[in-house]
Amino acid sequence: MVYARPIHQNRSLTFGVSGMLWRSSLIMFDRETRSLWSHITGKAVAGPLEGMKLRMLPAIHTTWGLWSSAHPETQVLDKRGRHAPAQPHRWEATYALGLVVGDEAVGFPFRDLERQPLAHLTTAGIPLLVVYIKPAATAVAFRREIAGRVLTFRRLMRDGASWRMEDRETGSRWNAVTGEAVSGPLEGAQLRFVPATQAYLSSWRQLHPAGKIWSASP
Amino acid sequence: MGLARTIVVFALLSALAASVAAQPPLVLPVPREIDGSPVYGVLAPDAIRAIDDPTFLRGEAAGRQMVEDESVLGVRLGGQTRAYPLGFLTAHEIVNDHFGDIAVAVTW
Repeated sequence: MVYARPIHQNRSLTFGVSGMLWRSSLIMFDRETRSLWSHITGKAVAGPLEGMKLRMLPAIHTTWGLWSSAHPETQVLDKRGRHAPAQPHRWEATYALGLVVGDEAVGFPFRDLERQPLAHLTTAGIPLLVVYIKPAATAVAFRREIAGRVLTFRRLMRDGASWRMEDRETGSRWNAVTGEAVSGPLEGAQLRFVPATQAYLSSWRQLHPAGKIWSASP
Repeated sequence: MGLARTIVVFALLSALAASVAAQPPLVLPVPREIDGSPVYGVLAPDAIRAIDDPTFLRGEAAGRQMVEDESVLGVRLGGQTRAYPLGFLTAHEIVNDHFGDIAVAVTW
């Protein structure tokens, strides 16, 4: 999860690890006010800033291979020799990509994305696209709209080291990981990323009991 | 005389060391429960130390540090593109970072 750090008294808050667990997840604290924040919901749950909510920013949970081939210019956090073994990217059928759009939560189970790797859904009035790259077990969420025009996508396929898809409306071809149109009438256009969380489907349901769960069409 | 001076210097150094060490350890009261769910104080605050001064590699140096199927969190923001190895995030939980003017917390 990536959050924007809010400004408090002209300074961005700095977060630390409180050592507390709540609902099986980390509680963070900020050094400036010592409020406690739930890592999973982004909400201040105790302290002077209680009730405040952090703004979540888009991030993709994927493999180094897929990320660095989509973004050859990428930087990577320097481990500086600190002990942290490389964690292999795992796939589990019980994973889901979770989105919160407006007041609505929607989960996209990996099991369904496997069968239908281009998932279209409109929720809270926002047209969404979730792309699933099976060999890298990676789900990416976009707002499928360019300048007010809603697009639908098809023909997800590997193209060398990258992944391509095509929109039905203009026939433009898109990089399916970066969301950039690479050729056709919309060349150069960029789909907006939607913040999303990868979680176990059961945890996601628990967190958003009133949320929707997308499923692949039969 | 020599001995007295040594003792004075030693005493001064000890006082200095004590004042540095006297930085009280951070104590955060653990709420009994939040929204009906219990809160467990498992470790002391900062026992897992967040990263406040991240540095980055690129190009070949980045490739040397990483393996192909290593899990990462990828972020593009403010014209910058960065990957955070998940194994590293699991060990440190939080990276306080900046993308240009945008201050972010990368968490796992």
